[in-house]
Amino acid sequence: MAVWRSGEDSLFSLSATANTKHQNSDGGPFSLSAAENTKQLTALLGQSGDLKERSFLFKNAEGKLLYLETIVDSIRIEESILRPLSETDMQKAEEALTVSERQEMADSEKALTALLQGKVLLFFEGRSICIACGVERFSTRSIMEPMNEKVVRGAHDGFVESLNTNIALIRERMKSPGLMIEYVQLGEKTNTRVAIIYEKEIANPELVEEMKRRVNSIDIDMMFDPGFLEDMVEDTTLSPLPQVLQTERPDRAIANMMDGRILLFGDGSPTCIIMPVTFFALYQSPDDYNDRTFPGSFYRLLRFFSFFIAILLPGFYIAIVGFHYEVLPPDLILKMQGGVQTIPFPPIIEVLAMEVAIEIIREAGIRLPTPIGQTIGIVGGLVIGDAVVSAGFVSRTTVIVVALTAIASFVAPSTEMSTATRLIRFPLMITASLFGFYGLMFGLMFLFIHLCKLESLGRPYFAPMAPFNLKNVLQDTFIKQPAWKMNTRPLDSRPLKEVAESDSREWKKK
Amino acid sequence: MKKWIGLGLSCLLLTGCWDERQLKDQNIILGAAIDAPSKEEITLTIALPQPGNESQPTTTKQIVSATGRTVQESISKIDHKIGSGLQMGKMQVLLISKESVQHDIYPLLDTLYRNAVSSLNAKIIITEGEAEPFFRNELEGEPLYSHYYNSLIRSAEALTIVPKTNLQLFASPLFDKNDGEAAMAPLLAFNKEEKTAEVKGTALFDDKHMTGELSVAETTMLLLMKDEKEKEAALTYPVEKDKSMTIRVEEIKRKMKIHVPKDGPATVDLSYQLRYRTIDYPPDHLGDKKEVKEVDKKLSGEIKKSMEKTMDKIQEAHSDVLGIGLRVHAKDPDRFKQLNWDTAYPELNVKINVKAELIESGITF
Repeated sequence: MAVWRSGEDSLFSLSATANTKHQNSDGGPFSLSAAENTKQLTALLGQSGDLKERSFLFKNAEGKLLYLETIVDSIRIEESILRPLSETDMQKAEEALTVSERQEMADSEKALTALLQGKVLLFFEGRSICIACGVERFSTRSIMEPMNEKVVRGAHDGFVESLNTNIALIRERMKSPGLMIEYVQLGEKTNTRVAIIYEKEIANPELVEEMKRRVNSIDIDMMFDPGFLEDMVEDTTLSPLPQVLQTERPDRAIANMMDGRILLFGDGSPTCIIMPVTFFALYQSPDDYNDRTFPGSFYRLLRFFSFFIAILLPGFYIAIVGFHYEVLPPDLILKMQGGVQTIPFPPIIEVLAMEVAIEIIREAGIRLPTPIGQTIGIVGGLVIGDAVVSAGFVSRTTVIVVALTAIASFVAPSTEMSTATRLIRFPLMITASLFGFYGLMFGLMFLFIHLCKLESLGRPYFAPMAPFNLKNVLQDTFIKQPAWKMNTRPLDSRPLKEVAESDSREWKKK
Repeated sequence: MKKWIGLGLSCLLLTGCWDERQLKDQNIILGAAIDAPSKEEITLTIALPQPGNESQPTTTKQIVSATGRTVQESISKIDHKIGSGLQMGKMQVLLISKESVQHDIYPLLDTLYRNAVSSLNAKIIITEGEAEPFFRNELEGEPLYSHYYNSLIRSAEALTIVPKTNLQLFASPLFDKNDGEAAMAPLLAFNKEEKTAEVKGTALFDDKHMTGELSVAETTMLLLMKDEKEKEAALTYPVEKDKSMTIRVEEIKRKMKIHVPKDGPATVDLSYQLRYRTIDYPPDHLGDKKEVKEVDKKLSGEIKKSMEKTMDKIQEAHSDVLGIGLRVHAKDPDRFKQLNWDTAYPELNVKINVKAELIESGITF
């Protein structure tokens, strides 16, 4: 189990117990001999090729330096450890070292963990401790705008694979003493650092406790993908709808944190997991807030409209063509009949085949390098679409329906939500093909019952619709009010401080 | 989990879609014609459209007739000819010959009222002469006959020259047990020389059979009396010796007062306030207020005269299309039962009062 060191942004929140299970029993307290100590650690690491040992002299006593050369910065070892030790007049080695992070360790297991994290271990003859110095080398890519969360206006930076950089991005934006960053070490083999971040004065302590409880109970040997973390802490993993918000945008993460939500980061992944969220939060994009009220609200409404198109349109088409063609106006009905009359398949087969084809094209487009991906899109979309109609396998209307549906499903500003809508439409298509509009209604009823029942970190997922809260609905759910109208935070996360804004436009009252 | 997989797989074994009606298999008809010279002999004629696509527009594919003892029997006989089931759900027009409605019209419509998918906004049209030729004859430049008849009636409705009716509206007077209101339907004739159909006026019903008819001008008058002016209503009257004027009624207000004495015939006071504009006035000089007053007065008299004439005609046909019976029933139900409305209605004493007022005379003056 992991140990908590709350409230400080320390890199030394390592736990000894987290790593004990898999190590052999050679571990234990160090002896007085430096050579023996290094030997012990080398044995524990199994003669790893990148483990380097170097001897040095300090005040005529022999010392040993132990590090993994692949993850330390050799220049910093030279400048901050070796040079000070050879030139100093100080009597104690600790005083001579010029590294900013160092810690004394008396236990080989603890030392091993530090070694694996990129620390340099210093052993001195005659002392049964080692000094771990932080001279890690971070390999990070530069900060870029996330590919799948582009915005028109607003900040264009995104998280990267390094946890430290990600936290730096948050700290840069939020200089509040209430910003809490807590580390946990997860993954028996990977030893991944996971950070839980929240705003102490806003986030509800009960939720924070619950989040810690969930994270603490994770017992897994590999943890570097947000997917693992999500699966472990999500309330209902077997739901088609995501109950966490994944984002790579610092501004989005912070805006959610300021609503009293909690952020989860894992080292090695640029994705931030946000809980608790609501269904509607997954449809809010930073663009809404960067835009003015009317366009912001219009595009938000458009997104909800697209949600319904994405899940309902194919089912609706199947129901009409298979059961209720009477709902079509007379002029349209004969046109549509002319289109489907020569099609040899029932509508469900026709639509399913096209939907699956589009999903295949999409999947192929993602896997392929960009120039070929575009070609595949054109070949798949235009050529197959046109050929399949001319061959008389699929009606033109079906192609329109499937294309519209596919486009509408990509509108959701969260990738998980977009995938969810694409999956939900399949059961709805089947119910529509069995029972027409009835089936569609049944499917929708199941969906909405499920939505009302769903929870995210124990908080209602479908808030503020169920439980209903008119003020929140009007403020920032379907439409986006101007910033000076958003006086209170959304109440679904039960923030400690409800007021977010007051009288910002006092100047108008002269 | 295993339970759910088992359940899901067994779902595939279930039969489904037993009530599926796929669009591609349907024979959707847009119009039907009924000729019933006698009660036991009903001829149904339908026009099967050929669904269009991007290269060719929708056309009439086939005209099929069959005779049976009920409408449903005729439908099944047509089914025998064309293969799959007829779908009346999108019917736009139902043509019934004048001859067929001399006796009870209800048996001809019953199956349509019984069917849940029946198209309630189909227009009911009474035809001069047989109804079948309306589909058989050639119509100039009209690929879809039903469509043409439907739009013909729709535009006539907008001009207030035929009453607004459809299967649903037609039903309520038909089912009225007290006989307090009568049904009416537009009357259509076929012009063979010009290869067009022509609106002829209105067929008046008493209870369930046709008892009289009104010309186009009389229909407009009747609809004004009913306070059912549609988008436009134009009237033409002579003004001077050999000159006529045409007015457009902009607004009409009706006041209906009903007196039902304990004994003796009921009386009805109908007073109308009518505001109009001139759209054709050859004598000109409507800038003169004096002349306007004179025209108003003259028109009031003319309109009153035609209203009285129309009233006489519908009373003669025993057709209470104004729904006076309903009002009498509402006012004094006991007396209404005593009266026997069918005989009392023609005896009804109707007083009509019209006040016309010019509100606009156009650009010239």
